[in-house]
Amino acid sequence: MTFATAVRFAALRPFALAGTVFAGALLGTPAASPAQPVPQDWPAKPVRIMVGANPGGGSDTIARLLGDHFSAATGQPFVIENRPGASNTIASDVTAKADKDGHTLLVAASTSVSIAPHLIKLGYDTLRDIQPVGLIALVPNVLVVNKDLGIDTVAQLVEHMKKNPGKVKYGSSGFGSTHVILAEQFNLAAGVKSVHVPYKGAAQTQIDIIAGQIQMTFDTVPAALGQIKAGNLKPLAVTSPTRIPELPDVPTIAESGYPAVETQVMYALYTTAGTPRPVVEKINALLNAALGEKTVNRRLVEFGALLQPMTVDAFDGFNRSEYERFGLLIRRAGIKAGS
Amino acid sequence: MILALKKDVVAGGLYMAIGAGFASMSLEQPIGETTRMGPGFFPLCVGLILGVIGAWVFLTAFRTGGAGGTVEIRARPAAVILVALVAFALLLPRLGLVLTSILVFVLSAAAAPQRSVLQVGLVAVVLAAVVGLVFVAGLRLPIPALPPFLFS
Amino acid sequence: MDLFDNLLIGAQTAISVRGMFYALIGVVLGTAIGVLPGLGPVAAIAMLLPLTYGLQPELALIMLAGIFYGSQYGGSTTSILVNIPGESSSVVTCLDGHQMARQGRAGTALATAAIGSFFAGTVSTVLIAGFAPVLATIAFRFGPAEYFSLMILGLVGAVALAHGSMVKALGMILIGLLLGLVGTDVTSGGQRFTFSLPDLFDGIDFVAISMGLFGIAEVIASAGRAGNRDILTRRITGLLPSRSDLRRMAPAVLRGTAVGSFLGLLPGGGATLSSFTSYALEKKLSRTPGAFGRGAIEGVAGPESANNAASQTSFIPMLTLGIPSNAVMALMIGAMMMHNITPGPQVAVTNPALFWGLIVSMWFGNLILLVLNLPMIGLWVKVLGVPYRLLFPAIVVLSCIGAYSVNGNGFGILLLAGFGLAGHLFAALECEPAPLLLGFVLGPSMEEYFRRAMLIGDGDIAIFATRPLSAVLLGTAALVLLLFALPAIGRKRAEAFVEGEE
Repeated sequence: MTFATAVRFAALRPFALAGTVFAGALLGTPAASPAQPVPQDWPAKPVRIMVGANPGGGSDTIARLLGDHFSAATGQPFVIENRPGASNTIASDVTAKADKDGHTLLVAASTSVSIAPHLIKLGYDTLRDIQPVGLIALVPNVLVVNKDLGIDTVAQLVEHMKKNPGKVKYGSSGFGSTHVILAEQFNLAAGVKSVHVPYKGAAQTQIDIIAGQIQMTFDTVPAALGQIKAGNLKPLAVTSPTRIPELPDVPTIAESGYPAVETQVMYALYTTAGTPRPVVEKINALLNAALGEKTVNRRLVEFGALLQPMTVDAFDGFNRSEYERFGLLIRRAGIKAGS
Repeated sequence: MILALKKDVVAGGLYMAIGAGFASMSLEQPIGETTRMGPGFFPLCVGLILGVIGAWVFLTAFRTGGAGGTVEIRARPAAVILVALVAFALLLPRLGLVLTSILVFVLSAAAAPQRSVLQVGLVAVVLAAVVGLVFVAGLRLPIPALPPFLFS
Repeated sequence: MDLFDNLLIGAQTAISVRGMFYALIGVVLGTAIGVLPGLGPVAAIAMLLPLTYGLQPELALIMLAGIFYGSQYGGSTTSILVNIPGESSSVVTCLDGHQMARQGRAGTALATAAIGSFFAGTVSTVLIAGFAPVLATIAFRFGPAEYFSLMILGLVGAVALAHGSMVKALGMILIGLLLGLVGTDVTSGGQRFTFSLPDLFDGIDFVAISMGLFGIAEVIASAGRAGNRDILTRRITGLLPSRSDLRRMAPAVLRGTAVGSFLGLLPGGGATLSSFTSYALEKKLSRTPGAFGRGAIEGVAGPESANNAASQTSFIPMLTLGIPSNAVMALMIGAMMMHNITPGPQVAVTNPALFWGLIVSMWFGNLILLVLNLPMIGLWVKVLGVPYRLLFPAIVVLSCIGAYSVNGNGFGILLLAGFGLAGHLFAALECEPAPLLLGFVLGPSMEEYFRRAMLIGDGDIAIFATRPLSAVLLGTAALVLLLFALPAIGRKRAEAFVEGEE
């Protein structure tokens, strides 16, 4: 879409009044060593939640949902700051370089924390400079194809692709999106070839699949669900380890014979590395309490997400393994920037 | 300032320079092939076409003995406005929106003859106050209203 | 008939006390933000989005739609008064709208914009209500090849934006295309023409380039130039269009509405083209094309109507297919998701109150806009009563704030300064900036569609000719080019004629 360019996002971050921040700074404890605030000091002032995308996207929706809940639970305002750009990594960059006091949080998806670091040069080290706080949700992708192809199963798709090498085109939400990595991984696993046609977002990809311009994509479930339910897109497999409640009849990709393509997009909460451990634990507890809360839980599930609260350590491990797994996938598929 | 150059000669030259510049920068990018175009393909084509159009404008201007009159640049207002804009960029983070607005208003007002310095100053202060209220207090743009150093 | 039942459901939502209240609030806030230089509809909606989270979903959308129309109209206001376009569609309004203002007809220009928008809004609302599902399928006829050809047609038409040399206008379009490509390449992730400046990775911002080429360049050209500006303050004639104005604008409004309604249906870039296309059409059909760019009322009436019609019909792909056709619609979808409504084919069935309420509120929002803004015109025109020597420093300060707010750093202002200077140079060379801006806006998507079409067509350029719709569009482009080229041969005579007329 050009219009993103035409009216390029004036990233007008909602921002606390300068006066409020000022008051907050005064009310903090200037006498105590600022590097080691005790956890009851958190949050001592308004907390900002960085989001690497424009308002309205997945991470933004999740961040606002959590922000409202956190504000209610702590009595401090949690303000969302949208910093779109550079494969959603600008928000991570700000977080990495913020004060190490837990007053800057980051809601990020796999694209910016697990994929982008392997593809573009960043001004920070994702594993070193950003502290994982907890997992918010996992969102599966779903392999969808044009409904007029007469393809009902992954096996039929593979057969079709083998008969027409290089003729099948898959759409993606652009360079570095999960769509590309999944599709290339699928090509490797099934020993087939397909041509990558990049788009700027799920909507345009869907139109072109429905119209038969291209044939397939690995779309995220929340984005594809509407068109699947309306019968415009044919779902073949979901990339989660188990079938999902919204599409009970659609097999998993592992059931279809390609366990290597199993991948979910993670949405997670982070803060600046070097934030005192008790503060990180406190934020983690707040997050997990929010995920257990009925309205938040229901909204996320309706969004197509699977919830899986983790401790800080468990999530730290998961975050690292996702980082390395995507790194491996990207190297194996030979995906590089600028080529 | 009036340059003794014909408009279309300069315009044609400018087009050729811009076209050549973009085309040569495109060559540093992978060009690819028609099936899988690289990032350099499209800008290279556009740059070359621009160069051709520039040459056309340039040569036509010569042939018709310099169409379009001479180039007139208003150097003084251009310089003053340029300085005012750069000053805004430099001062805003240091002085905050209100003081910066006053200074930049007064500075850019110098691009035209003014009747009264007092009047300019007065309007500057009123505008700065309104701007501070609208953008910082009202719209909550992430811009400090007052000099940040006062608070640290 | 179904249509009336549906509109009744909608009317119950929209014309309730609360529906009207939030539509009013939205329009007022939107207009207030839209008149600030550099803040367009996207910025306005993004800033005010959080205000709507506490509302019922249908009220939230009604308010957001109000903000959208309000800010768009606000953008036209700044285009007319101070020559600063807030978004791509109001670039065209600058051309003749601002000229009208300089001739003391700012009130007429503003009223023309309001009336044209209202009429277009009314027609396209009926279109949406009656035919949304049918019209939505047009989106599927346009693949990458068709969009590319459509944009070629748009660019060829853009030559009409210039009132000087056609070849020079073509050159400006190409410069615009190239500037639009600055930034990260979507396809490969590579950086192009960024000189390793991270601030350029997301491209050059539209706000900086448009305010620089129009607003700042105009300030440089006019500051301290005696006479030029005083005319403007001395004789402000009638605020409302006269009978002969109305007669001249009516056909332009009708054609603009038709063009805009159709182009708005194309989610891949139609709406951007609407105001440009309408301008080109009016200029071509006019018996006095020489008057365009010198304050022709048709040049305001047509594009403003087209723009408003397109922004209304661009709700069709959004509501019926869940496909956002521009940044504003993407925000609307975001707002719906916040309220747990997934836009898509099922919305009209599952949420009839929301769907039809929104549609009726569109018309209602346009009505409020008209009622609110006609009396405001007198006030706006007073802005021009401020002596220019005090007005232009204020324009400089406000433009700076607009440019700064885009990325929250000084880089936007440096770009603004650079393009202001470039704008002055272009003006001195009689190279017109409007075609450049259209090229800038279309550049990235043109390339994207071109590359996508070539990928899908397996590298065969014939895809643009073998797909029938694409071929028709390209043929039309060739025809338009020919139509423009023919009079150019006898231009010397035409120019003499226009000058004699003044």
